[in-house]
Amino acid sequence: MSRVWVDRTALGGVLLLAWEIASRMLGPYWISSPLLVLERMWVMAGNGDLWFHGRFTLAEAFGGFVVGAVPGCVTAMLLRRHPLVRSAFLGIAAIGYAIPKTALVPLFILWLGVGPGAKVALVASAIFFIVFYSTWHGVEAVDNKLLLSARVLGASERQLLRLVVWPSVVPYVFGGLRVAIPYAIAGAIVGEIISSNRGIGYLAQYGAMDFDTTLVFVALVSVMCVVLSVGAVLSLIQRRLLRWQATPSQGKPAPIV
Amino acid sequence: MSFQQKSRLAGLVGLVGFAIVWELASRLVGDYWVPGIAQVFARLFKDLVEGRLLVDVAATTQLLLAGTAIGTACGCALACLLRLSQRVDSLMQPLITALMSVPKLGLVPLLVLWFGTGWAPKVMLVALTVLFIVFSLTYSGLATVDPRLTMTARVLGASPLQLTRSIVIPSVLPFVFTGLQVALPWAVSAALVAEYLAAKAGVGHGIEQARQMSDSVGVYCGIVLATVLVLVCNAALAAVRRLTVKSPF
Amino acid sequence: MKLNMPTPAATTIGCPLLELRQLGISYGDAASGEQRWVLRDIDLVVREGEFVTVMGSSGAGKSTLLNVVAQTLQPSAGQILFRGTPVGGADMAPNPGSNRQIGYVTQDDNLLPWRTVWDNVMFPLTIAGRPSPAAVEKAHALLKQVGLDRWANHYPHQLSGGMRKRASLARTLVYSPPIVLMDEPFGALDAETRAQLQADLLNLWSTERKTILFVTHDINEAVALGDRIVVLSGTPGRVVLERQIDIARPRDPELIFKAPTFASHYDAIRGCLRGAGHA
Repeated sequence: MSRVWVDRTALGGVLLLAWEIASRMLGPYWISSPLLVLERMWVMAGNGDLWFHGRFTLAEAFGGFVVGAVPGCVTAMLLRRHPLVRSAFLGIAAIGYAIPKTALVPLFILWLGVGPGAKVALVASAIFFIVFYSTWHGVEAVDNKLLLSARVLGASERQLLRLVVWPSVVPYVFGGLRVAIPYAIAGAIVGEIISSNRGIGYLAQYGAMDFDTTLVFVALVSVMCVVLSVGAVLSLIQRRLLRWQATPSQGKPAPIV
Repeated sequence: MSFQQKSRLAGLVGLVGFAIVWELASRLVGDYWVPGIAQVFARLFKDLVEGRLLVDVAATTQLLLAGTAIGTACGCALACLLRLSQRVDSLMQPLITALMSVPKLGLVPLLVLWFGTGWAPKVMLVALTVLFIVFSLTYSGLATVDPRLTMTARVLGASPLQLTRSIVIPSVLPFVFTGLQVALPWAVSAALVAEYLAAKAGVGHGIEQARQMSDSVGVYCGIVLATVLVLVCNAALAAVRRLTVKSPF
Repeated sequence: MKLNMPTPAATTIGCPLLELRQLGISYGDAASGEQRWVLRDIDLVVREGEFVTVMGSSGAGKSTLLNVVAQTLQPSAGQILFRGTPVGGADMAPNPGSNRQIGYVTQDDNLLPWRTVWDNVMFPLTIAGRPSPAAVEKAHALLKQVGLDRWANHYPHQLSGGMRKRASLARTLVYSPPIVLMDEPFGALDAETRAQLQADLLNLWSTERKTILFVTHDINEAVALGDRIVVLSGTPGRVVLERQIDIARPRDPELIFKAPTFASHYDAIRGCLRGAGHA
């Protein structure tokens, strides 16, 4: 193991130890402890509770993601050759982007009730803009010389779209997806915290209401694990998908809120 | 007509089209789902006149300013601290990545648990939200501070304080501002969520109250207010940036 | 990697392949009086199997000329004929598609970065439908000829500039266009690579006598490669010189200055470029 990782593991160990000690001294009521959290996670994983709630969160995140990402991407691609319609759309989109998405949560709840619908809507509304703008940047960046040369080689309009435009845009779309997926999970959690009776966000909220600090930490650690693993999977996919690129592509994940 | 002009006109047409669609939707599906534009603005006006609107906006703005100030200061400081030492920096990397993968809004239950439903957890939530964004952008920004500038200054005998003041701060400022601009909508989101769960006043509180009473007009009003808040803060931020940052970034 | 020069095929230059009659290209609106002619009264006949180099002072419209022939630009006056049939002209509708009779090599290699070298070379064939086994064979042979057969599964970013240029050449030749347009294709390369590629081009050309229209700003290159040199000059650009290069083939581009008639060619062309430049 390289020196850096030894240091990091040491740091992690020290922090966890400090947490445990503080917990012993001040009592686990307010801050819980690493051991308690691990133990509870183990129990909940065992009796299926963790998966039960996790399933809802993931479904909402994924559902919202698809409902938002697909129209976002398609819209940007469709508007490629219609500059005036695009300007009209961008005007509205700017306002849509400025609306704080959490401001829409009560509206969605009003429309769709406290079930998963509202969470999916919340996630979709955020993801739509992220994916739209990323795809849009990709479309703008398509190299015209490549298009021209492909045209001289005999490509039809549809072939140009499929064989030149789309592959050019993919790195940007992927970058957008990399940013969007953690946001989707975050959005689902937030929706659940505001109002839900299922899901990891719900667990956090319930734990807080019930003064069950351990449960709150379990929820937070679970989210962290999910986001980190999704990030790792995406990195792998990116390396495979975009191996034709000379330099590391776009897609540095933005900070998650 | 040049393309630019046509483009702007198209933008306006888009907005007008949006308003028309709104009105049509209102006629079609009824007031509960989509209240008419006139209704919403009438209510806004009424709230303004009665003073309630300003009270709410003031509460949320106070929350925003406090949280943003604290968050920016801490985020900046943290970024500078980590950039001091390469070793500390690479040591902390995974820890920071792990912390950043917890959605800050997910910390609301914890904060409420610890600090109750008063003012503190709300400010902390906004501060945490802003902190991580400003930190992230300032941190990557500091990497671009031209090392030759700092070296030249040091050779010329500048003390660390002078160094910070004349080189580091002007270089970092643009990134801090960018961080703020990015963080703004999120800060507002955080303020709203905090207000949904634990507040007696504020724009978020107003929206949630309206929802509980199934008052769609109220909900729409709140959304419009929140959006206007974001746009106004954006404009203010841009203005401040233009005045203070003189570099060509 | 110097390839051995094989004996050239019979040097019969055939009947007119490409004809430009009174070709003109302008920008701006004739009605509002803002029309600006870039090229005017261009008459040019290119015969089958001929290697024509085009030179001109900058701004004389050399690239514009190629773009019109490649049908990516609509002429404002005159006609283009291909094997005697008009295919483009001021009075004809713009033809954005390609009839695949033309190959076009520019300074940028325009290889699709997400495709391997092999996929790039096969690209013109795959977009025209399923390539026949004979076509695939030809692609293999071409790759071998340009020396990239061991790099077939690499991506463009892994290749050097010269290698990418070779791949681009292979891609252009794979669908056997009768006429190949080249717009300062070696301009972005360093001197040594450029010399190598000039030799490779002549080598490729000697086995399959394509008709080539080659734009360059380098007199040495123009004399070394071409059967005939056309010089454009002035604003708007016009043909000011057409000169047969009688130097025997096979030629070595690096040593072209040693040919007995080189000096007179050089002086004539240079004088033309200089003189017209001051006009």
